[in-house]
Amino acid sequence: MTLDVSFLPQLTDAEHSALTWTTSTRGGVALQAPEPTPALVTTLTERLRDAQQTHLADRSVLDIVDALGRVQALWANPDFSLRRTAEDALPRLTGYAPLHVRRTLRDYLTTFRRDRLLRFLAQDFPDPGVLDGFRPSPAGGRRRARGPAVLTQVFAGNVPGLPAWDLICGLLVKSASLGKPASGEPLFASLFTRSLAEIDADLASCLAILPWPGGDDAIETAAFAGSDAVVATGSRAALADLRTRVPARVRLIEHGATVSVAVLAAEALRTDRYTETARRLARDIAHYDQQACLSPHVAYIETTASDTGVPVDVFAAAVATELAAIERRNPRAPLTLEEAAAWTSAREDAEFSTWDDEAQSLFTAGDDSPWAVSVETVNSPFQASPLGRFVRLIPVTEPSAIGRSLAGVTRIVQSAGLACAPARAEEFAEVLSAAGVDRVAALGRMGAPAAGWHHDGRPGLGDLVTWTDLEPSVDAELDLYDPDDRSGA
Amino acid sequence: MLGTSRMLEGRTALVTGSGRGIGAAIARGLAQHGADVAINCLRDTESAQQVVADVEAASGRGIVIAADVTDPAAARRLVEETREQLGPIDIVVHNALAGFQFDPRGRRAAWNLSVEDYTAQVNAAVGAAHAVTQAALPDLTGHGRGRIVSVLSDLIERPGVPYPDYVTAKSALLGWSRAMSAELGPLGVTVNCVAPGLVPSTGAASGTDDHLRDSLEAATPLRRLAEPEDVAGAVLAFASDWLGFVTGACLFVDGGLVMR
Repeated sequence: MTLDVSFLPQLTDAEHSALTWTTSTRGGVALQAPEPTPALVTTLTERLRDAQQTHLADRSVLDIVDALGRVQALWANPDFSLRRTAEDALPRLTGYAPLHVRRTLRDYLTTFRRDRLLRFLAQDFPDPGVLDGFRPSPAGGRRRARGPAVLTQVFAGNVPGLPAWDLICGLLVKSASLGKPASGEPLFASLFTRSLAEIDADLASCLAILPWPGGDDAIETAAFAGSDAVVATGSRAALADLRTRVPARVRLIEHGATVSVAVLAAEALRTDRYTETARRLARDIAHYDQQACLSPHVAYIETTASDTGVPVDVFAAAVATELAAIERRNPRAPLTLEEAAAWTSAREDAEFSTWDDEAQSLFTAGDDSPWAVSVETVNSPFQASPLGRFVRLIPVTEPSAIGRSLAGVTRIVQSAGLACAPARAEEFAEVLSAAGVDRVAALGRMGAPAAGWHHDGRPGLGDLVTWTDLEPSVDAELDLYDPDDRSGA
Repeated sequence: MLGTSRMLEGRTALVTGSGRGIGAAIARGLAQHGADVAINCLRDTESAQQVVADVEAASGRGIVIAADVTDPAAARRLVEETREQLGPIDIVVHNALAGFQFDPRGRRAAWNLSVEDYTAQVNAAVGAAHAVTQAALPDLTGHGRGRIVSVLSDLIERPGVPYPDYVTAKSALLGWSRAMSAELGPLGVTVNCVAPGLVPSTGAASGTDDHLRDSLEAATPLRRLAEPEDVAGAVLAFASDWLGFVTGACLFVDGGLVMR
């Protein structure tokens, strides 16, 4: 069976059959997509603009939430045909272990349940009615928020399924989207839009999915010219390149690659807790092999003079053992040549430094080890992981040392997984927040951000909209022009 | 009888009490399957040198280190020397036995045992296992190949001839081993026991009489008594990857005399 990675309900049947299709195979999955052309992209953005006017602009936000909730209910059924397709094809397309994809997809799909979407909305809009019309503003007067009519969205390919969330964000602020799937995971965007079409064809007509080669100047010029804003996820280099092509009048919202860390307080290494801590840390490390930005590159380990905790090397061995166990049920995805070279070089560096520093050690499963746990010292500047289940454990004697270690990466550090006593959570969160961390999650839960998460520290929906304020003066002063003039009475 | 392979190639084993008898058979067996082996005995003897020669002929690398493993300092030194000469230790076999003679007639019994007899046996069995294991822990953990095997006796389950001090010590070693399997499992180390029946060819068993041998043979489903290689085979299995998912177990190697 060939899977169509595009979704173009804006085209007529005649236009659809006039497209030139190309087929490719990835991981044994046959995929097809139409040949992208600047003319096609222009047509799509024009029709998306019409569809937005007709089906989205005047639709109440709660009505949109209801429709999306019904879409989620489809996906909540393990026998839903598109979910079956996703569970079968995504592991083959991405190389990630089927069990891992199945379980993370299941958890991920629950994040756009109706109640969670409402919470997500409320995070940025305490009164979501501002997306439908003017509502009283706390500062006086009234205000209204509007999303861009047409968005171009450049999706990430590092984690299966992510584009669904980007599309949902667009719909919640009543934006039509032209989505470009990533080559790493080209499928889920089209599966999601198809499921929306089953529930609500009008809403689905506000979404178009079309792959094109990233950086194609003619196509992207056409796409951006027809859009009011561009949302792009990608590498620093890809984003820098993109920036040069987005016209000044079009807003660009970027999500670049970020790094995350874990923070383990001394109490997390207590003799009766350390195995569970190791298990949780390993789970976060193995989450999409650290490709998702949400997984820790480094785990800071608070060491104290007390003898209730296990030595760092014992903890490292426990993490290594957990990673070995995970490898048996969820093998690491194959590395690209480039990734493999970076991995090997990082591993060799770690090994060399164990030779002349007793405080450093390296745990692996031998030469072909699909994971590595490197115990290092805090003196070195922050070193990112080569990803692919490679973690650095860094003992620190006080929380402030974590802040100093992160000094070089303040602008790109994202999540922190925290394991500490409840009473100390804020102490660590303060240090982390000052160091640039924008999300603190419980260790073991780093891969599943909460619904209202400020992605990269920004309001997810709030960043998409612009506001119109109807100032208090309008109500106060415009009486002057009220035809029912009472002033002379 | 144990064959040869490269299964344990690149791994280092330390076998306590391996200058002769069961320990020597274990050392040879490990070497025949590729491991480098440190042979430990109380005093460097001709017999121990022969084991080294056999090990070198089989795997290339064998050393003998004389050390009294009931002395914690000596146990640490044993581990350090092994590590220095053969590299990090993957497999530890606790086989050393404090001076003990199996002698049904001359044995010390309930009415003439002293608490010191118990202490001496428990210290020798558990104390030595603890000291050697603790020193070797940094080598054993974190890579999934760490193996600890302790040699007990089927007398812990079927004390046909009661040696209360000895049986108490070996039972204690079983308890230690199970606790260690829970402690070290999360660090990727398996900890198991092998409990042989009477091995008449060993020096310690030279006091057993023909009548006892005959009656044991008659009661044993496989119709004979154990040989050192029978015990070595079971240790090899626990040291291999084949039984890599088994920990906290105690395997009775006595021809079916004890069934559990």
